[in-house]
Amino acid sequence: MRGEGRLLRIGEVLVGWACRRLPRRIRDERYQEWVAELPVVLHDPEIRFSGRRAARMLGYALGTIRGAALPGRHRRRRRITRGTVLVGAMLIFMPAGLGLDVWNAVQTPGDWTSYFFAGLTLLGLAANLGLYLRRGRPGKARL
Amino acid sequence: MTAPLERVLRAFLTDPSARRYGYDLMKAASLKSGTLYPMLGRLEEEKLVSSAWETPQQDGQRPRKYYQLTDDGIAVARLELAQLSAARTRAPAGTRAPGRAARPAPGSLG
Repeated sequence: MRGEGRLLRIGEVLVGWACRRLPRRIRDERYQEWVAELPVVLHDPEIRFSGRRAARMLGYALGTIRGAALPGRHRRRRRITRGTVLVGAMLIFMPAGLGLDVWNAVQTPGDWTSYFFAGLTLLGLAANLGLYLRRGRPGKARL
Repeated sequence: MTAPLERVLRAFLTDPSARRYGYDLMKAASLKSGTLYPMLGRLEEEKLVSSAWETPQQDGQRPRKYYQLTDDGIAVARLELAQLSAARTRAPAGTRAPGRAARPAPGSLG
C-alpha cells in the first residue's frame, strides 16, 4: 500500500498519545500490544479496499485513546493538590511580577533593589518551573 | 451483563482454547478497540482471561499479545451466558428492546 509506513507512523503516534494516559507500569506493554496490531489491521485480508483498511487502522488507533481510560485501579490519578495549585498560581503570577521588576529597573536605572528583586523573581520562576516539571505533567510518555 | 461483554464472551466461547488477538476479538464481537481493551483488562484482573505474548513468526514482526479464557473464565462465561439466556426466555416478549442486555446483577460480570 502506498504511504503505508507513514500511515503506520500516524497510528503509532496516536497509540503513543493513548498510552500517555496510562500508568507507567502498564504503559509500555500496552503500547507494544496496540502498535503490534496496527500492521495486522492495515493488511486485514477481509477488508477489500486499501482505503477502508487504512481508515480501520486509524480508527483502531483512535479507539485506543478512549480505551486508555481504564477503569478502577488502572486509572491514572490526576489529583489536584494544594501544591499543584500553589505551583500553578506562582507560574501565572511570577512572570507578571518579573515584568514589573524589569519595568522598575528600566525606569530607575542604577537602583540595585530593582535588579535584586528582578533577579529574585527570576530565580523563583525557575524554581517553580523546575517543580512543575518534576511533579510531572500527567502522562509524559517514555516511548 | 452488558451487551459488549456478552459478545466478547460469546466470541471467546466459540473456541475456548483458541488464542485470541485483540483485533480478532474486535471483529468477532463487533466492538471498537476503545471498548474492548478496558473490558479485557477487567477480565484479566478478575483472572477470567489470561494473556501472553506470541513469538514473532517473521523477522521484524512485532510480537502480538493474545488472550485466552482461563478455566474459571470458561466456567463463569458459560454460567453467565446460560443465566442470561434463561432470563431472556422467561421475560415476556416485548418487555425489552431488541439487542439490549439485562442490567447487571450486583456481584455478577458486567
